[in-house]
Amino acid sequence: MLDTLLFLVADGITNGAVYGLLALSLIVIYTVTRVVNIAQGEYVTLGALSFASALSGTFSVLSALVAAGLAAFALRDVAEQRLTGTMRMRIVLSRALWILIVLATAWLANLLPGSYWLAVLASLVATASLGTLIYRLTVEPVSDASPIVLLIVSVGVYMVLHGTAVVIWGAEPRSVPPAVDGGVGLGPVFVTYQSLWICASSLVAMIALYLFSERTLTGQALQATAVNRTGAQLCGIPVSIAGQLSFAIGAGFSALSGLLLAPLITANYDMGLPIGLKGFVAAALGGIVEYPTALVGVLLVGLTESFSAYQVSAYRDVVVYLMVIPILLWRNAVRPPETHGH
Amino acid sequence: MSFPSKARGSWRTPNVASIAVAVGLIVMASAIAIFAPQYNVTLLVTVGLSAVAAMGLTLLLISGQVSLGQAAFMAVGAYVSAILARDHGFPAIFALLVGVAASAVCGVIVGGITLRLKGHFLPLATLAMGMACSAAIVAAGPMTGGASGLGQIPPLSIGRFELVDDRAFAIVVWSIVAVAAGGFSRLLNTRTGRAIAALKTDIEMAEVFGVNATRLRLLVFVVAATLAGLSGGLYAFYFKFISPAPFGLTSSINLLIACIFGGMSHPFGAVLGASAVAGLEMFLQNTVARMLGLSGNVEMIVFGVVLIGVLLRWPGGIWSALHRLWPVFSTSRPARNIELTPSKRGADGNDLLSINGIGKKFGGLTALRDVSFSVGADQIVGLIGPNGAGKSTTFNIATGLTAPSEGTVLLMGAPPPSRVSDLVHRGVSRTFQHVRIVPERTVLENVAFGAYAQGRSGMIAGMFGLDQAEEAATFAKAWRALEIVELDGLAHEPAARLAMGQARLVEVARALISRPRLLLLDEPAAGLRTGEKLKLVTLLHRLKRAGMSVLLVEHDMDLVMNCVDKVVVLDRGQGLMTGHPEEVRRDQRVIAAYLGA
Repeated sequence: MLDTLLFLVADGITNGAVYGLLALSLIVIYTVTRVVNIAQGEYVTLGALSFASALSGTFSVLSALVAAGLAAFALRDVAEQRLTGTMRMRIVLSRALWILIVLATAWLANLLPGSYWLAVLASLVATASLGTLIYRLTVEPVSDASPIVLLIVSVGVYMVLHGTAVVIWGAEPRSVPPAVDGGVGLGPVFVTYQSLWICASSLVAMIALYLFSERTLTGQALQATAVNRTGAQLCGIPVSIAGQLSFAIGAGFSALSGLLLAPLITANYDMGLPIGLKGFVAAALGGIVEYPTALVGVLLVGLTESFSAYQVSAYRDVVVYLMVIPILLWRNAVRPPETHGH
Repeated sequence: MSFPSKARGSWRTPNVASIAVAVGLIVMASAIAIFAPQYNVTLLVTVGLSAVAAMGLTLLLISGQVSLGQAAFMAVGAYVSAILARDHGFPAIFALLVGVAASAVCGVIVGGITLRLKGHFLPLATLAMGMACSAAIVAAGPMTGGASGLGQIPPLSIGRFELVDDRAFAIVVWSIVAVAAGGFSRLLNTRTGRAIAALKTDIEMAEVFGVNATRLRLLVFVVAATLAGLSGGLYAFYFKFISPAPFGLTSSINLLIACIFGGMSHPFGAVLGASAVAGLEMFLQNTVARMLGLSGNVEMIVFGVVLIGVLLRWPGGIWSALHRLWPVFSTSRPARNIELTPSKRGADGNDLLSINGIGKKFGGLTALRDVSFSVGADQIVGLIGPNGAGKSTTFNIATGLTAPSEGTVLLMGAPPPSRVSDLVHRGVSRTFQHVRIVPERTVLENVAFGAYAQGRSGMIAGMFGLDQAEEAATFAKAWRALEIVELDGLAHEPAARLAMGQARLVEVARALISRPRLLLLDEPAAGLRTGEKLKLVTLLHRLKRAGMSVLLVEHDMDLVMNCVDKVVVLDRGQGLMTGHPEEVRRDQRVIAAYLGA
């Protein structure tokens, strides 16, 4: 009995670590841009699938698409009328470097198949850059719209990314080898190294985000934008850069959770949405704004999921999805969301 | 007083046009159903069914709510009807009715739980609920057939008559589409329709005029769920096979796309959108997919792009292109002149509003301390004070929006009602510091909404035109109120085009039509030009002669001094003095408070 209990707790914590990355992605994006990002789970899919193809030595089509998108926006930015020659030069050079990094990581992963770290790098660079593209394409043009409109736009993004994932990788699931095979007995419970790796990576990523937010000027600027967009703008913080950065962080974190999780459940085009929604359930506990409460939320979701999988296996997802309703009601009563725009 | 410029022949009204479109839809659908090849008939039924479900969603959008789980209610209707008819021997028509009732009940439950959620929490909750519904259908395999579905559903029958002919089925479905579309289209310009539009603009404003916002929002949600259930039940009896797939998240999203693409401000948008989505889908499947050899996933990408593109570039959807052909809602000015006298409810001879020693603390901050004053019958009282003096807090306490920490408030001789929507029944009406009018409706309709509490006709009466006498009386009063504020020349202008001063006067007219004994005006002169301020003073004197009392919260000293009988001066949360305008003007403390000396 105790064994089962400990096993379920370990399982719940592993799931929670994955959802934790998702919840943080959702919070970073929502606080800075007010987008309740329904498409968040798709970055999980894209991260896992591009990681799988990089690992198997195929050149990632996603990297090529992202590079093309970056080039298109670079052209548009350079064509801007009001720029001086040096500013143009700086844009050209920085964008060229960015595109080079996206292509080079993909190409190196292609040259050296099976290299875990290169594949991770290629996948993260591509998805994080994709995040900035999505921001510029779908959020920037309507950044003054109500949160509801932004939410519906993100539904459209979900459809585009979901469809694109199938077109690039097909519907076949891909098995992904774990970082390290095997596992270790922790007392009576056997825990795979991959589970430990997931928890450790999530923890490191969360600490890194914390340090970035608290200790760097850019991180402080992001926080300022989250508190008050107009105020931040008046202080000279470029809202567009802040938005792109938040989408890059959000997409990168979600992709990381996808490629960490892939060895446990195989990478497939349909994996993102349920994970994204469970991340939502967790983030909703903190109103999609509070990090610490969201971390309590992910443990709650992870444990509920593993225990209900044991008790009422078929209804596991029903229980987890319905959890969001009492959470939202509670949150709504404690601190309702702002209904009028800003 | 100019004659309304846009008054047209009485046959060109939205009501007549709604009926015409409904008849046109039936005729067109029947023609297709009778003459087209079989494949197109199936398509016709599919489009009709999604139009029915999408129309519910459009009504929800018009009331300012968004659902990402509309297809889940289709699932309830479909599965309940199918299981009852197939496994429990229910007569098909009865099974369908129970299925529709079941989704209505689910609408009451889900709506009752989630409608208190604000902003983006509601779409999130409906999204989770829809996903849970799909997962539950798969999990309940023994009863629902799980992921592989449920087949051999009997045909729809009434008594001995079996509806097996596809073409007849298409006509039945499109008759439902036509009745619902025509009915909802008419509903928009009626008492309940105006209240639904007001909910989207501002819930508190709607409540001030007597709308029970919780109940109306729930009603709209349940109507949306019922239509979805009907659509789902008919789907089951038409295809005779159901599985979780057509009722999943993708379907909910496709319904939303249909509404937004077609135009989310009008029920016909849902019909247009459902047809456009089906047409686009067919084009993609037949042409693009075959040409490029790509599978059905291109569809998803294209729909996603359509959704983003429409929202970003063309938020009105297809309907916005047709909207200029649609007749503008108008009613002509009534011949007889009616009087807008205040209702004689409330305490006669006593004070209408009496405030005794109220105080208010927000946490550690004392916003208000020991304030007392009263508004008697036929009196205009001005409440003035520098910024932060506590005017708004006093105003909110007087209307029962905020409970005082100490002291008592008597409104018409009784404590303020606990529900905002009961204020108007006490004979109290108000305007807002930040103008809250429905921008897309005409001035006349905005004013007519003020009479909500005096009417009784509901949704059904509105849909089928059983409210004509009541509407005529309402619009006669609305015209009169516009004449009083001298805006009758702008009656048929959309409220969004008004200047700030005009919009404030529309708010006054809207308050007048509810026939209050006590009118509360929250900074009515802010943004008014000098000429408009003089008009406002004249108007206030006129209202007083008609037997109305006014409490005026205002910054503009000149305006207040010119029209009030009594001034209450607040400073830093305390009553500085109460008295006749002349006394106040000479008082050293008041001068000090205003000049900061």
